[in-house]
Amino acid sequence: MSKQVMSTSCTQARQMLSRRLDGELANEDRRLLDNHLSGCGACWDELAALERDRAVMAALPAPGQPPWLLTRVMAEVRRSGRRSRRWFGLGRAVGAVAAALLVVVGAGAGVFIGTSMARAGQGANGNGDELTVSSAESVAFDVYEAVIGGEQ
Amino acid sequence: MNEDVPDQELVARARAGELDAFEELVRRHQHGLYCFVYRTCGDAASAEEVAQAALVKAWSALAGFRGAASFKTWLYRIGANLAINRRTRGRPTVELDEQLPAPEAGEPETEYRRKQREQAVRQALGRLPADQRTALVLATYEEMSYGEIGETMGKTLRAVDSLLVRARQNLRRLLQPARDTGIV
Repeated sequence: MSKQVMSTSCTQARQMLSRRLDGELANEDRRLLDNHLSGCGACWDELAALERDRAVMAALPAPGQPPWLLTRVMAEVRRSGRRSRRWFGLGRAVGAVAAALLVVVGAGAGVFIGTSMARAGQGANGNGDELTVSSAESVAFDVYEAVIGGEQ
Repeated sequence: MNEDVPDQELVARARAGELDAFEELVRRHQHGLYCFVYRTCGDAASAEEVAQAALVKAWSALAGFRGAASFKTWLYRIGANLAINRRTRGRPTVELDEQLPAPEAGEPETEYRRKQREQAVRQALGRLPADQRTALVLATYEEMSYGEIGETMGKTLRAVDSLLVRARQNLRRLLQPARDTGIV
């Protein structure tokens, strides 16, 4: 085998060693790598070194978990739940007030427009008896009449 | 709560606002998450803070969890992001840089050597770039597949492979002095 081929093959093999260690090599790649390793002491030593490092890492003891973690997390979660419920409640209250204000303002505006139009109608025909503002329907009708009448 | 209930079901119940279901998820995953962030952050104080923040964030973000990955992978992703952000902000890791004190009187030689070895490995791990360290911790301790590591870290399979190759090369270089002196 030429030096160039050997070198390329070693480069490829080194790239595969990590995946072999993690069991992530496809069967075909694994076969190619094992063929290479059987004839290449340097790559075999490299794999052995990687395995040693992994064993040294794996031997580190797992840290002890703080016993209060679950309690603290759930306390924080409950607090955040109460906070969001409080904001949700506040939002609903603000929404209700805003809706009530809209109704009041809308009704006021309707009455104002209706009354204005009724006055305009009175001015137009000089007979106030026929133009009474008794309901939203009649206000709307009066507005329509006044506008259409005004256009004609 | 029944331990046979799968995570998916607990997630669905927690999303509907059932605190007991979320508590069971925390109970199941807190230790794994804590170990993972401890190994990624390098010190207990940071790990406690990150693990707690990750679990609380998981609760608030649960509505956005679509279940494409497992709950564990999703939770570890939150933990990994918090831990990496913390490390890249440059907070010093206390335990990693601690010098091992001289052996105590009467302490067996084997015990002291074990402490030296663990210290050397922790220091070497602590000097890896944050993303290489995270990938290596997930592969070695969590035994995650490259697909799971990719989901946890938001990386492609090729990127995970490359991170692990570089992490192992760097770890080997960083452990060399300890190896030369017979500590490792």
